Amino acid sequence: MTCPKNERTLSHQSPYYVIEIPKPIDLRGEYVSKYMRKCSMYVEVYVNLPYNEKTFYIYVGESEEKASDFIKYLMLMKGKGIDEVRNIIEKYSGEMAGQVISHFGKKLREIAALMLWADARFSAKYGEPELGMVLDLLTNEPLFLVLTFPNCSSDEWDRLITLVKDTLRSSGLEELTGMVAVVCAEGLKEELTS
Amino acid sequence: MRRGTERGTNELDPAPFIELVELYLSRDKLDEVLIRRFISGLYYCIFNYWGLKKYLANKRGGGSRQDKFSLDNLYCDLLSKNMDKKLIILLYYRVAADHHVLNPTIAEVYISKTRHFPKKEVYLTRNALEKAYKIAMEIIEKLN
Repeated sequence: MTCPKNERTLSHQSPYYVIEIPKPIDLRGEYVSKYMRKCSMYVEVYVNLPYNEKTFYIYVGESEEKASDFIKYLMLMKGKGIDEVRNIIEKYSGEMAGQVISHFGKKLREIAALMLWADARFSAKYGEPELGMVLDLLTNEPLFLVLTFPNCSSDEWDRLITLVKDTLRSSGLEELTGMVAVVCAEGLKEELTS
Repeated sequence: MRRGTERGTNELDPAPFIELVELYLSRDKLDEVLIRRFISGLYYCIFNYWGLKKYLANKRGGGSRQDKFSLDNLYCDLLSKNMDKKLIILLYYRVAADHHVLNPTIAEVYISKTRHFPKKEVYLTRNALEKAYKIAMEIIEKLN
């Protein structure tokens, strides 16, 4: 695929580029159109870049969209050093950070991006999110991650799940939707006591 | 009973068991042992049914007959289908029913930085079983 001329690097260390193209958009290839149908504001294509990772992110848009907000954090994390990413994981998971890092290490940047995005987008309303884990009761091995919002009700819980998971999907992170559960601490209490 | 690949999903269809739960929910006498066993049963019949569906879809598991599935794969599937809320609530009931002996009890399904977030009081009552039953129905519907 030919890259548009007005490309710019997000960071000199990052293999990711942000490209802003005014509408109407002329993007070629079935791969692109598949993503365009899912989310008109964001597409992901593969190109031959001289870097280890060959994922090429493109913003297409006139306005800010939820998915592209998340992609900004994702790109930011892709450009950061591993220590900085670990610090973010530690900020949200506290003393469990070591276990999170050792079990979900392959997706650490994506998880860090999710936490930063969730904090920026929802903390004013639902409180600062935390990153926890469900452990196997017999082996104590982590099974999946839990993104907890302290102050959201049971009614808001379903809406939050949809919002977070749809954002991950439209950002090309389908795999992460099966690794993270969204939990509303207040909502859970309501459900179990009602 | 058919064996191996001859099996159909209807052999592990949880519908008859769910009907039994429904029947007991309509009766007056429902003691704590029944509530605990029904909650646990609902959880594991979902697991068996999901596993057999995987097997029949040629997504084989482990073991000599490739019919051994792990719970983390079921969780992954449910989370991918946005069933986070249902899964977490069902897990609290299941943990309280199978691993705790007091009622009500404080169950803890996950760990978090703020330690009290995951610690929730769970009361295994008729209401709890009714909720677990409704959740199980919704999960099975999604699996079908």
